[in-house]
Amino acid sequence: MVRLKNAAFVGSPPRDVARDAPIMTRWLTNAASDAALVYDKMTGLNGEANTINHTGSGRGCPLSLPIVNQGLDALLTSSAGAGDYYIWGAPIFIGPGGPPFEAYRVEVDIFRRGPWLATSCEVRSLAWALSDAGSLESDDADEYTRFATLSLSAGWQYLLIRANISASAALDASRLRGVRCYPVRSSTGQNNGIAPLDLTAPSGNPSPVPAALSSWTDIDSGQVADDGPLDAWVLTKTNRNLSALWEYITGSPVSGNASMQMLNTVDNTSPASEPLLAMPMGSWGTGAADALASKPSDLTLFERRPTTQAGSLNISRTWLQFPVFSSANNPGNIRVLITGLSGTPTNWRITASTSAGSSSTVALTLISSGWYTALITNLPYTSSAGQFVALALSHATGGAVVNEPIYLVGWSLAFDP
Amino acid sequence: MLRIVSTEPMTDAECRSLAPAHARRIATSIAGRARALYELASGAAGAADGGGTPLNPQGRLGVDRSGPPWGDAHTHPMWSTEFLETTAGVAGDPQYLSTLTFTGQIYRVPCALYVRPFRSYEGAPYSRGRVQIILERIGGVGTATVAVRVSAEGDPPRSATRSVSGSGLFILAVTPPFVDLSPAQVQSLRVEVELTSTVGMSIVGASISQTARRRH
Repeated sequence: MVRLKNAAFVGSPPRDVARDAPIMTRWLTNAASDAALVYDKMTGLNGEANTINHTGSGRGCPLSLPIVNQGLDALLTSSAGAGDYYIWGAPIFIGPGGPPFEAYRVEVDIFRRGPWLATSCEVRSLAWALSDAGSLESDDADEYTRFATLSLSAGWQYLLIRANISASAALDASRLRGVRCYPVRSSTGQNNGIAPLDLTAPSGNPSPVPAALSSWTDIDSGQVADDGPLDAWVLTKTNRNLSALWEYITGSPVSGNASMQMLNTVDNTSPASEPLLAMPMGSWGTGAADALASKPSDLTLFERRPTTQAGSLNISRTWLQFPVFSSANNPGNIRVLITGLSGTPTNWRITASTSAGSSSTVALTLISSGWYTALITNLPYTSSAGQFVALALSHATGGAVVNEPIYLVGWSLAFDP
Repeated sequence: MLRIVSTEPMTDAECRSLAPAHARRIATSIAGRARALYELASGAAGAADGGGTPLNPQGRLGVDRSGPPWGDAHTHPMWSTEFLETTAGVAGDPQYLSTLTFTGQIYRVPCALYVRPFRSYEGAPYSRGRVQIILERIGGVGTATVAVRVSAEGDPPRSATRSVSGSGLFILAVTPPFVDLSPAQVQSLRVEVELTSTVGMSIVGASISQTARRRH
């Protein structure tokens, strides 16, 4: 006998299931086979390649998570007078499978007494090629907010916000208060005329489900043979399989059940082969940079740089709530964006840590003139808990004098299994 | 509709041996639910008829992990700040949000965040964000106390107090530790920290997170 499973969804035409229609082998076979296809896609079991990882194109609806949601309160005052600066910059991460949204909106909050700064934003590839740019336009709803709509690619890239700081900065000093980047899409509407899914789960007439999806029962081809009886076992098991899948996928009770009958739903921890999610956790700008010379900033009130090459230097920290993920299976990655003035900035090393431990130490690599990056992989973390994420710099040769000055511009954390 | 679709389960009694085999009931439920589940899982229509399941809060087919019935809500950070804990060997702005040094001084955290689309109902996981404030006593002696008030614009604030008498960073979870959130928009939140002691306190940072999977 062969486990029933369709390679792609087949379904049954309405005529097969009309009132008084004969009960056909083909719809029962297809129903059990389609259910097995969904089960394998959700769990990653039985060798299914096209699992549900929420990258669109039949692999699950995109999650529409924010790319950047940073609050800050940085004073933008130039000690060197007027200039063109990257007032915010950081790596950003878009999950694989192609950008599932038409566009991404970038928003910048700047509090300022004087006229609005001339601002724009850029997207640069990992090789520092300019892939998109736009001026930041006024948002009528908020006088302090400017926005642009950009195209982003899948994977890592850099987002930079640019502004011309005026010479009279001391008089009309600006404060950078927030940066956001999130997906937007043109929509044909929020409703396709089909009744919303029922959340209420009326009591009575209970529809039983297995205690856990591990009670899933495969249906074999011989159990739905032509001219065979309509087997109650096959019907019961298929019905229960579908009910278990319903709870697993929707996180809500099967209609007719007063409450969830099982505890585990899709959560990237169970079963062990459940497909992993690629997702951004956020990006944080830590200091400005000179836009034209690709060198560190004169915005001395908004910068982050080591003053010694000795020892381990804590350079940045944030507090984050981590998802319900298997930390063994879903590695956290951190990418940093750094500017370097002179010498050999690749002598600098960076490591990241949480309460669960430290990553390996990674050397900076050159992106383009004056710009450096490092990608930290396999960040240890505690699943489903809040914790600090800290970055620390060290230098290959050490020493009290900084011969190779660098500035941390920004960094980003993402899951990229 | 090219392929039957249904969300209606059968009971065990209907599947039992010698139970009446109502073709429409059995086939609709068994075959129809397989299609509904395929669409909810994959986000793709099960047939070339545009789909047989309702659109999710994003306006797309399929479960998007935004809370039941659109999947277990995905837990993740929603908004956060970054800071430099110690300046030893590092120059620049530590990006502490503020330092409060006299009783009654109030700082309003600049907090505007994008909230993803979700189905709004009482207790929906995404309807509340968990607010946490990172604090550090200054001065080295005594007890510093702050009152924190959080709310969406126009809502009555939820408040909490925290006293810190030791050194290092302390996490203050506002109790009840939530602020009301609205779907699919950028939302400005009022997060105020007031010093209520004579010993000062630094507001090191803050974060807002989605922490509930099914409901609050």
